[in-house]
Amino acid sequence: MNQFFGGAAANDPISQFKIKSLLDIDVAGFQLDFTNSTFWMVVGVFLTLAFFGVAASRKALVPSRLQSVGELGYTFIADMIRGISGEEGLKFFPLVFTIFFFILSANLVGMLPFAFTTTSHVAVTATLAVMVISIVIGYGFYKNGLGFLNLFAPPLGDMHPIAKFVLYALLIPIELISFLARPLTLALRLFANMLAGHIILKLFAGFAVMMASAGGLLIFGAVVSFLAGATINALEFLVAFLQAFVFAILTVIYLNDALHPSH
Amino acid sequence: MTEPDKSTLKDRLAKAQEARRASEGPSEETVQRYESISGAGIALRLAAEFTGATLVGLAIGIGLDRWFKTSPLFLLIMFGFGVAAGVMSGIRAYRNFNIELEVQALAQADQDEINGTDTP
Repeated sequence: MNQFFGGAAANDPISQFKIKSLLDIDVAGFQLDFTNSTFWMVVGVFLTLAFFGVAASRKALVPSRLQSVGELGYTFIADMIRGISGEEGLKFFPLVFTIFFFILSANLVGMLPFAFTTTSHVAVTATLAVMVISIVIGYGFYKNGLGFLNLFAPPLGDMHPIAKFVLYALLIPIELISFLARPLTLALRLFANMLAGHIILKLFAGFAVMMASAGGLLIFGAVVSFLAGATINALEFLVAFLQAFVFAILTVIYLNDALHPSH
Repeated sequence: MTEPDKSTLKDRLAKAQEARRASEGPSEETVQRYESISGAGIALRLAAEFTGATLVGLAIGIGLDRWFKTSPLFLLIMFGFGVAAGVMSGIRAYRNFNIELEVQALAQADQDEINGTDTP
């Protein structure tokens, strides 16, 4: 059973991120194991499905508490998309909604003791980021054709041709680099936040245990460390929500570039 | 030349700020709440934007140098472009915070409404 829950008893803060295979699957030379990361991802997805299944089952005019929360989640995402890219952006509602609740459930499931945080691995967050950017590029070219390239060369208006040439020679590389940096920052931000938060939690918990077992005056240190850990724990719940929100809103902002390439 | 404005710059600034506060945009209270919660988060995100763009610029420079065997010419050029791109995406990210604030304020209003109807 212990393999489901990562090295719960281990004292170093890194071992909680170790990936373990629960079921060896080998397809045509590819290693497609069912790992502890996969397991907790599936748990998160099922919890989300169960939550919205129950929340949407009654459809009461005067909503129950659970239904209100579900509706709040819906209007939250819908308002966000409408506010940034108008009614036109709502065709991406399913994508953004899924991304938000996938990351939120992964982050929150990771807050359970002994659970594995799937979003603390750059492989997971990078996959999400690359998927978002691929959709932006693909849809941008599909909708605007080559006009999508206007994103990298904003119209400058009336200007001397030489001045225009010089400005574009500077602007296009800058715009290109800042576009290429988007998937990197998108992936790294989520990954780094979850990783750092869980390491800090583990460190404070480890301090508390070590100082308490040392006894003597260090007991006070253990109490302080425990309180700090508890505070960080509360902060981590906020971070779990905030990072999912940030990922979703940046997805919408980038998709808006595909909808309206001219700034 | 038009008649110069008699009021001092200070007055005009105060008036402009008042007008701006009255128009759309997040209220000062919202901004304070947001900043008190995640000032470090904002700093971290701007730093990430800057570092990310710089690293991408460096990587492109190294790649071009390998390709054309011109080390370190493109490395230096693209590093400069990377830093510039980092500053620019930092500024863009800061502008996006305003959008985020508005979205959060909207969600807060929704939640208040729900809480209001829940408690009779």
